[in-house]
Amino acid sequence: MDDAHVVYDKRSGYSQALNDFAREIFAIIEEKPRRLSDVERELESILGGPLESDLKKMVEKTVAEFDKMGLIEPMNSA
Amino acid sequence: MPPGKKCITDPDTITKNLSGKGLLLDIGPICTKVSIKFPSIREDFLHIYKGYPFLEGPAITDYYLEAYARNFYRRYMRPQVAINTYMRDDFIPLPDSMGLLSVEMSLNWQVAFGCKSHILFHAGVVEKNGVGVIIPAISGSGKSTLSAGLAYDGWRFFSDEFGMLDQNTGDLYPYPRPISLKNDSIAVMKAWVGNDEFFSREYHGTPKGTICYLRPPMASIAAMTEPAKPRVVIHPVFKRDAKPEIKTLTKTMAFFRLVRSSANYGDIGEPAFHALAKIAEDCISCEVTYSSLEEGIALVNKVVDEISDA
Amino acid sequence: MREKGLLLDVLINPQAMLELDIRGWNKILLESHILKLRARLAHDAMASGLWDEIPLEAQRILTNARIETEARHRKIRWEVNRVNRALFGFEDKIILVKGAAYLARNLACASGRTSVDIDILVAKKNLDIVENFLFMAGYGSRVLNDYDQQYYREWGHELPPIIHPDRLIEVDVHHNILQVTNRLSPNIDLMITEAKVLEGNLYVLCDEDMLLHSIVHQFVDGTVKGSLRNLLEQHDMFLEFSKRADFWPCFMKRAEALNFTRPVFYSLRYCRLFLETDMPDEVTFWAEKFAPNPLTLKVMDLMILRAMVPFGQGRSKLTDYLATNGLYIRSHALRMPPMLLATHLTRKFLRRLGFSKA
Repeated sequence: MDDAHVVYDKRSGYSQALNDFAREIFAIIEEKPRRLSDVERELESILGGPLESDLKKMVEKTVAEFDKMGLIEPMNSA
Repeated sequence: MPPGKKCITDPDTITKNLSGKGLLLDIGPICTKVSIKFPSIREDFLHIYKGYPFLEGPAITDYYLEAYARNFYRRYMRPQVAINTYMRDDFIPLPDSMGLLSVEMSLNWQVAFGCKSHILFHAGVVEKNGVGVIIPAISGSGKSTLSAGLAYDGWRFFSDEFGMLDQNTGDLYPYPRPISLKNDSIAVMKAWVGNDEFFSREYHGTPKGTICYLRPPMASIAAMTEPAKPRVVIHPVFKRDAKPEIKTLTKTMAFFRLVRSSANYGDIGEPAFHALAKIAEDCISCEVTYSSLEEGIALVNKVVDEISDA
Repeated sequence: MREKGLLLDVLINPQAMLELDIRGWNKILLESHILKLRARLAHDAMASGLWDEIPLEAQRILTNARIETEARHRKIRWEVNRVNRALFGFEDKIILVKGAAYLARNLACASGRTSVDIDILVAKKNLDIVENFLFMAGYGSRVLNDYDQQYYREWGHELPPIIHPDRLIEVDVHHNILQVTNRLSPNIDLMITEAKVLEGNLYVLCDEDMLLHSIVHQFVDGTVKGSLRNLLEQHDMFLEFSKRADFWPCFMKRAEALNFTRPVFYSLRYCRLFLETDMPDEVTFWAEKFAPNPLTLKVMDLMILRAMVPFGQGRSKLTDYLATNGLYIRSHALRMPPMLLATHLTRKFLRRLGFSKA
């Protein structure tokens, strides 16, 4: 839509609004399962430079929110 | 009148059914079998439902509503009306003088709880020249009055409480029940309509103050099976002494406000998501602030005229 | 046997819907509403290819039920997802039972079924650990009264119901399927060992145990009102599982091993009588061995008949009420030894009147 991405999660039945930043993070994880550090690294390669600590915090917070909303899940992993 | 269905017109038969095995009341897509054991409540009921289609049976029935007295004491000594909706309600019995309120609230309950075939909006809906207008709002924000005002200003009345959207076609369907007015808006509407016969008597001392019911215009009742496409969504804000204002909403905002106003969005799920997203994309959505009924109606007309010109 | 009601006819043979007149439709729509079987009718109509031929009004009414039930299913599946998320790090078996299990396995009996909460089974030693995981994830206990907490843990076979405030779906964590004080309480380890994996450490009971669980709940542990649904559930499972060549022998063996033969006798009997469930003769003969004495059987027949076919001919509301309460008292009596039962009922009764714990 005009100012945000609106998503509907079929599994939970929840409707959410994601701003561009959140949408970007989600797309990165959607592509394949990642560690938090992987997400940061991917974001750095997209932005073309290292992440400031504020931005890193935002990434962490966004990922935690996704977990809480049920949009992503932890995996037992290698 | 509903196409292909035969209606009862003889008043004696109507009363006999209502007091006995049940009267089939057909409104929009919903057919309810109503039976009322108190003569006074029957009178109130038949007054505000004058001109509505009462079907000659049999007909497939969506809901059953029985208004009765639990025992002799409650029927004759301290009359109190109990309601059976067959749908796990928790209604407190009211004195028989407020019986009509019980019936109306129960009818609302059955639809709000049971209807999933259509997307329900807690909204008024009206239509003119093919333009459907949805007026979502929380109780007490003036949507009933605004819907009623528009209905008696040349608009076709669909509902003041339950907007119904067909999830497949995206059309709005009428469900024109009597309009419930509260407190100050009663006098306002009586002045606006100019004919007290269309109104029920006033019920004082209810938990919400004074309540009065207004019958929708006959033309709206006659057209109750004709749908319309939604084109405009108006979120009304009634504030005395406020400056009249029209504020367009972003599509995302429009979307979420629609979601919030829909009781069965969650249950219907994905089809509802797509239907509401479409309305947010294709319709004009705005918030309208007004300080009097005339002003509100004028603003609605303004918004609608602008899109008709566009 | 009494003549069956219209609803039963339609449940056994959905094609009969095509012969319904308006009165017939109203009758089965109302009855199925009261018995919580409307969504099942919707599903049957669709699965039998009849949908387009039933009246539009019936379609609308059935659609209401279908959507409501599908919404519940979504909520249940999601709650299972959230429970699994909450138990991230816990490695022992988590066994889904009842509705949640039927849904997870996409069984025929899941479609159109009205499930309300989630039931999971874990080993008794894990009860507190699991409870802690859930509390850490934001779940809370519904029951705060000490006496009731104790009742659930010691005599019941479950933790007091747990619920997450965001979603309000009750999660019942069991360590057995019947109360420990019940005469028929099974050796649950047998059932836990045979559980089949779904994914990760989420399991379901094996086919035979799943069926036995439903049977034992209806004929020993539950109320009877509206339990036509439960009998239908068993009927569906018999049909689906018996597609396996070795199902019946395994089932009979398991029923004996877990000591559930009397309830199984009843289930087979009433599935045959009410729902015309197909079953091999040898199963029927085998089950006869576990029949009660003729008098008990007659009484049970009468009571179950009335609860199952509440809208058959010549029914009386009074007998319905008596039958239902009679059966409930019977199952309560089986649940706890009589002396304990009296204490429990008295305390509960007193509390309802506003008196504090004696």
